[in-house]
Amino acid sequence: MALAGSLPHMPRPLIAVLLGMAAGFFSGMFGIGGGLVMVPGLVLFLSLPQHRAHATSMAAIVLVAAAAAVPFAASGEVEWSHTVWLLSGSLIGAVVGARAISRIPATWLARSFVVLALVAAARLGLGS
Amino acid sequence: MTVLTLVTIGLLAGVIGAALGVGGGIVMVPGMVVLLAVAQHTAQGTSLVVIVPTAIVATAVHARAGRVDLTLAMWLALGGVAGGVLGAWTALGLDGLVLRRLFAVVLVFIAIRMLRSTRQSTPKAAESGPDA
Repeated sequence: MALAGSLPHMPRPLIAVLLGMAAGFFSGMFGIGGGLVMVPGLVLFLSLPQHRAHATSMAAIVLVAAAAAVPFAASGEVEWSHTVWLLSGSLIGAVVGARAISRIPATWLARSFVVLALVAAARLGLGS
Repeated sequence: MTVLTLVTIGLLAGVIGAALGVGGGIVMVPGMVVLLAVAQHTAQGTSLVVIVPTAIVATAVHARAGRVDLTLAMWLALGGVAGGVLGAWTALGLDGLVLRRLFAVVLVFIAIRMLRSTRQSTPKAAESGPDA
């Protein structure tokens, strides 16, 4: 990346704050974690190894997602009854997923995700 | 039926998050909107609320393995909290249909990026832990 060369002159905390801000905006704007922005940023600009970047971004996401959720909750845009069921499913899924890594090829999983994502994107983008 | 659908969406989000390192939100938001006709804003707010406890659990696992750079996480969160509130305000200011179409564009970009990364290296996600 072209940016990587110019950034090392900036202090690391400043890079982290700016990266957090960009990821946080993305997170609040689209209701997702923000790891999609933070992890590559940590690897690219702060030279963290992939697994460390992943873990560090996860810790930051706790606060980022909580902060981003507040305006939504204040506007009544949280379906609280849904959160319980989603959460129970995702906690089981995380355990299963962590074990499945060794058995199901990641490529196969990734391609299934791509197909699902494209179908969902078509439904979201074309529906009225 | 709604409960079953929600648990299934959660399961998918958990499996994909843990195995591919993609956040659960990217599964939960379209899942709720497409399968349960939840409004885009509500789906996003709900997803953010679910991400918090999930990320706490994942962070605890990572921290025990000594993978979390706490100082760096603090700086990230400092900017992230400000950016997160700003992003949420921006989303809340947008029309639901506009936001949904923007989300669709983001989803396509993520799908393309994932497709590319699977072509380059195969078992890359194996080193990452559970994800939100």
